[in-house]
Amino acid sequence: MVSSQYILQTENLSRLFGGQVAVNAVSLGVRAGEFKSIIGPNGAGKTTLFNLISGMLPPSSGRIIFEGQDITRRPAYYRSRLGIGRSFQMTTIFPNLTVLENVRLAVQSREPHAFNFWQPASRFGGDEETAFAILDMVMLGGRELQTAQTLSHGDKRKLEIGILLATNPRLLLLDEPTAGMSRDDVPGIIEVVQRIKRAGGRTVMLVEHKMDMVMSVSDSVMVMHYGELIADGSPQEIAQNETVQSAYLGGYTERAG
Amino acid sequence: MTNLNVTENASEQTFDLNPAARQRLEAARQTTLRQRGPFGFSRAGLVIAFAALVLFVLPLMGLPQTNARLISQVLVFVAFALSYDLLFGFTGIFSFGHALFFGVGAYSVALCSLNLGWPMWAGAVLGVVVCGLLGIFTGFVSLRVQGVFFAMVTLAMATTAFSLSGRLVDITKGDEGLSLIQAPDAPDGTTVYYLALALAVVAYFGLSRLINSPLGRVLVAVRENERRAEMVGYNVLRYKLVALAFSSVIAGLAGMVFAFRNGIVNPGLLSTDISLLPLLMVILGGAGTLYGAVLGAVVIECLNFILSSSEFVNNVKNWAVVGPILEHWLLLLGLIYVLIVLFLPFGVVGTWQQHRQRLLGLFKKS
Repeated sequence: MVSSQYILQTENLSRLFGGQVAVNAVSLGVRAGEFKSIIGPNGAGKTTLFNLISGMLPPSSGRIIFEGQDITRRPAYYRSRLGIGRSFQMTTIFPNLTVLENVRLAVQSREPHAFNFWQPASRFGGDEETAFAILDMVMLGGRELQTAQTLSHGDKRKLEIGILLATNPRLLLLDEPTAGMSRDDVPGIIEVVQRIKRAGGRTVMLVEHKMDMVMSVSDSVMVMHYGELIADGSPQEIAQNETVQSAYLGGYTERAG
Repeated sequence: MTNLNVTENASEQTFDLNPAARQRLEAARQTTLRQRGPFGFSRAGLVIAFAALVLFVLPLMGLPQTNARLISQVLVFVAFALSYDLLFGFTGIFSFGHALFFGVGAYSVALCSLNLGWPMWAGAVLGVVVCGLLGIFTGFVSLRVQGVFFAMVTLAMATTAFSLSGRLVDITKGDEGLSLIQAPDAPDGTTVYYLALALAVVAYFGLSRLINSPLGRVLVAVRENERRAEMVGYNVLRYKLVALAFSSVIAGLAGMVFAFRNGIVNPGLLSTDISLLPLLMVILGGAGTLYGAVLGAVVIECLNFILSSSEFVNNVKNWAVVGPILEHWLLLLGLIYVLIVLFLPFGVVGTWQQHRQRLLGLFKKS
């Protein structure tokens, strides 16, 4: 069942909270290089699924396979080192450090000198250079020396994506990057996500409620409902799927005409 | 726009940094260089180095023995508070049992010397190893729980060591304590003074280096956001254990020098009072700054000395209202502590850093 065309596979992945089934026997496959979105109503289990894949939560049953390796029992930091980067619904950055330091720390995590406790960190100038380049890519150029918590909400989300990119992940899990964002900030984050897509080489899984964004960037869309995977297909197929329409999409296709 | 080429290995990620970004990078580097003073010292580092120099020459100019003893004690607690700042201020680990390492360091030297007949230095080396391993062990059994729960576990461990040191009378002589004066090679007052000075200086500059190193920056990242640190691939538990090992070794060394200074090792060194002191010092001075810990230790130990001296107590005993309070200086300290937590939650140093501009502004107008 393990196939090399998939970068990530789950087999009957389930997670229970007490008696509540948050993720119910989800078997999915994500192809390398694919941009896959996950949609579904609140409480459908999308974030729990991300928690299982990134190692924040152990699954109750089932298996997770990343690039042919069973990572079901691997700790979160190990999965990050394997190449799974994850952003959170609630922005998760280092608030009192500079924007530069936030990204530099992520760059440093892959370097052998991360355990050096005697030489100043500034000695390893390459880390800073990489961090500057990444901040440019996520459109935070010029903000490098600002304290991270003074950034606007939208810029914080960009910073978090920058932190992810700094670890050079092959699979990115983006959990609602536009959540709680003002209307003005949304185009910026969409641009960042599209840059990642255009740069190529990475596989992206995106949880998002903004349907226009999902429909325009995704290669395929998965729909979750009550912890189950109820549909998986191209954006067009999903938009026309009747089960999906009754479960979730409802108005979208009408509005889209 | 910057090109990002994905490769198998993160360190092989290649970039074309555009000229504008490169200019900003160079400017940022220049600013960092300018913030450092002569010989690469920070401003706080210069002050500390100067103070150390003064303390170094003082005994040569005839320092009275009582003052030397007071300064030795202050310096021991400077090192102890610094070791706690690494845990609490930089890594964000809240320990409530730091006396464990202080006391174990002291007992290692005393037991090896008096019960096994080892030379002092051998006992000290063993003490350092024991404290380091004990720190790692403490972390291993308790760092799986967070925050207050970790504090409770460390409190329990220190309390256990405290009772053991009192109960194992055959080995430790219980509450009576072990007298280091009987040891043939116990250091004299001046040696203790220089040992304490060396320890405090090494602790300050060693920790300054540590916290600016790549590893030290990770410790700060763990304090700032443990989840994020884990999710960019840092094994957070391992980094916390390293912090604990460094911290417990310095605390153990401080305990040893304190034992030499007092000439006696008793269970009091493992008591909750001793665990509380570095916490008070670091919070009073300002956590996560190193010089805040130095300031806190100096202020609290000097207050302790002045307010508990017999002259002072005899003087104030008959004062109305404030007399009884001043007589029990710990009560006063408790009051100061509450006021600091309420009004200066970032300590003296932290508050100064935050409001420097405004406070200086007030000064200039008047």
